[in-house]
Amino acid sequence: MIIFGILSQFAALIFTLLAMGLFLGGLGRNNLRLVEAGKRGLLSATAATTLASIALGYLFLTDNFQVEYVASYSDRALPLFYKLTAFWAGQKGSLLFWAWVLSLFTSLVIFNNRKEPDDRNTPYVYLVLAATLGFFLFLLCAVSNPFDTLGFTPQDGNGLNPMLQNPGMVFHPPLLFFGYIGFTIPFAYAIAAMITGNTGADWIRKTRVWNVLSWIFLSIGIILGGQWAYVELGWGGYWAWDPVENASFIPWLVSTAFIHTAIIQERRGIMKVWNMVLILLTFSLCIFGTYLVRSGVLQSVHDFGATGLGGYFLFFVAVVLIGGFYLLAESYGEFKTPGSVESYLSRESTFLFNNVILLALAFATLLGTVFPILSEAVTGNKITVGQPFFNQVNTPLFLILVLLTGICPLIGWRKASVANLRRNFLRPAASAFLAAIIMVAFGIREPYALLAFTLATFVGGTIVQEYVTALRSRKKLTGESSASAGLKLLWRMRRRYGGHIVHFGLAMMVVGIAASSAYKLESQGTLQKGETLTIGEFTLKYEDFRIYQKYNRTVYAAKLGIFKAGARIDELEAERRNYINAKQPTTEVAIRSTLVEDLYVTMPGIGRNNEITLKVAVNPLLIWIWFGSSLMVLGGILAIIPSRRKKYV
Amino acid sequence: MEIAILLIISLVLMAYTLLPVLRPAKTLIQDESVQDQQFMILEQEKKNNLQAIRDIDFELATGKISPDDHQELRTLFSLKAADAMAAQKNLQAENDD
Repeated sequence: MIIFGILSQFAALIFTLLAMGLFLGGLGRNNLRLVEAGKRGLLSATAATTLASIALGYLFLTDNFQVEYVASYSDRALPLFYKLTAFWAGQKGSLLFWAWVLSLFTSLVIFNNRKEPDDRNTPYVYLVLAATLGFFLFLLCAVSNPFDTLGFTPQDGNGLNPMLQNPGMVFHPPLLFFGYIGFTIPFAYAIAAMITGNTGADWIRKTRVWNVLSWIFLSIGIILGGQWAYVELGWGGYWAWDPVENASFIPWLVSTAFIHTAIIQERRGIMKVWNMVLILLTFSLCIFGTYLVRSGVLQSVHDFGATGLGGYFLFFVAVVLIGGFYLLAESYGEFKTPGSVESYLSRESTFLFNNVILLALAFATLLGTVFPILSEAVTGNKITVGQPFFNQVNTPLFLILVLLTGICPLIGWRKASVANLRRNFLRPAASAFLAAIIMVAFGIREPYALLAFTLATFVGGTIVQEYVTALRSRKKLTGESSASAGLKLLWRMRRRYGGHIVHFGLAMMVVGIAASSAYKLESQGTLQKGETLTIGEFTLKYEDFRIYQKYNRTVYAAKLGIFKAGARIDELEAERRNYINAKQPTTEVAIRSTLVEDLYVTMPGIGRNNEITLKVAVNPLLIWIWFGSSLMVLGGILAIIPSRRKKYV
Repeated sequence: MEIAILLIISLVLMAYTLLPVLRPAKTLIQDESVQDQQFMILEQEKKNNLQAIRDIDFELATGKISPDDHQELRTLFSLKAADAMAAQKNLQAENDD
């Protein structure tokens, strides 16, 4: 199966190169048959990449430790479930996974376009997709082959890092990859539009689903990463501004900006050049993020170490940026539009402000992330900027972004009068003001938290007002019942209300982040059996201790009774685990989540007489982050459900 | 054995890939003529203005713009859409001649 895997990768590369040649030939000779053959070449490359992926999966399942990659990330005791996820645990496997998903996405584009006639635009789209696929297949064949053998067969493998033995491993990395890879498709359409001078919003309309879908994948990937970090102690809570976390967050910010301005191009036919810039940046940042993770240039809790791939990724990013901006400069005259934003008091201008803030956030995060590289280049010393830098710079920007999220729906497209603004702002602003007074009265004085809660209330108020006003209009026009009008409004204008749901989710997240950051309680103590530890309103009683074997680990579990106001309300079990092949024990967090707060317990130490050291935290409203982010994803999904008439790639 | 299986699969895929080349030659859809391109630009202009009218109608209904602004903008977009449609008709007429 090793030879089969290696040769499948080579076959995939050959088919990809052949497809590129056929597309170029088709364009040069104006020959449709060559283009058709090129598309089939890409489908064949997909088949070959699938075979290579199956081969690697098979080698993991059969414990073939002759393969260096399998020996590095698996062992005999590893549960079957994690043997499959070990596929993308390391750099080589994740490269193959990337190539495989990109080939599948490319095939999906070909399939969706099967009824569309091939004009001069489509071969360029496929050519860009093939070139990107070819880059990854080249790395797999020539630089980073997951089928490399050790030259001997060890008795057992090194096993999977215990921190990766978490359900998060199943979804978090693949979904991030889906997000990164998905943006290749709008990028390919943008490049094709620049080459052919197709200046309309066609490429944006055709790739809207891919844009939003990739954004959704990236969002879910980031959220799941946050949840995973939260339950795996030592990963810095749900967000630590770690370089690898930032690597996914930066393209997310830029793609969010792109999704907003793409709407303006669709509706108004303006901002064509700016949208090209944003998609070029989004795709480049996806590849640059991969460079950060795989080059080993930055210290991170979950990088792949120095892999020797950094230079290749940097070269690819340079080609994308230089090539993309050269094409944009060449076609600038065609894309420049005479139309402009008519008034500062218009939705278009709030979208522009939102773009400025999103890009400022992306730039600040990028600067903080690569600062160690820059400082090393200038001073010879790696200077790392920590969480305080990111928090100080980004928090005010985020709050402005939340404010704009609330303002934007209140302002109409094109032009708004002061009188209308006053009327539309009155209720949401009054509700936010009232909420602020109530919060101050209840003792909330932390300035950022107070501001965040107030702005979140403003956003919520805006969205509720928007929906209720539209609902009333519809009821008045159609005479429908509230329930019927409400549902029909939501379904028929799902793009609009999908966006509002995303913004409502964002407001919920802001509340969760602000509360859990500003009002977190922490305590620590060592307990003998029967002793208690108090934090806030909770008292934790150490009740029992047990040791047992499960799968590939020995578990040391402490049972804790949870008391509130003298009454036992729940029990938790905090664990330490010793995994086979792992050098150090790991800590499993015990969490009691309610809408009001999370009681978060870890057990960093166990003494000789089973006395335990506990670290306990109360994180107010933390679950709101997960609810809010889920709502954002649901809103995104609602917004891309296609109507029957619309075509997409 | 593995190599033989992969070789067969690769040959089948290669045949599948190159099959269209054996079919009678056919050209790609040609770029639109200047007139067609102009027509498409006008069509887009018309659609944008009609969409703008729908937008401001919705925004009037939800109280985002005043009736005066709505009337002014509606007139403007209607005229622009009408201009685009008239230009399309002229182009078609030129074409027919």
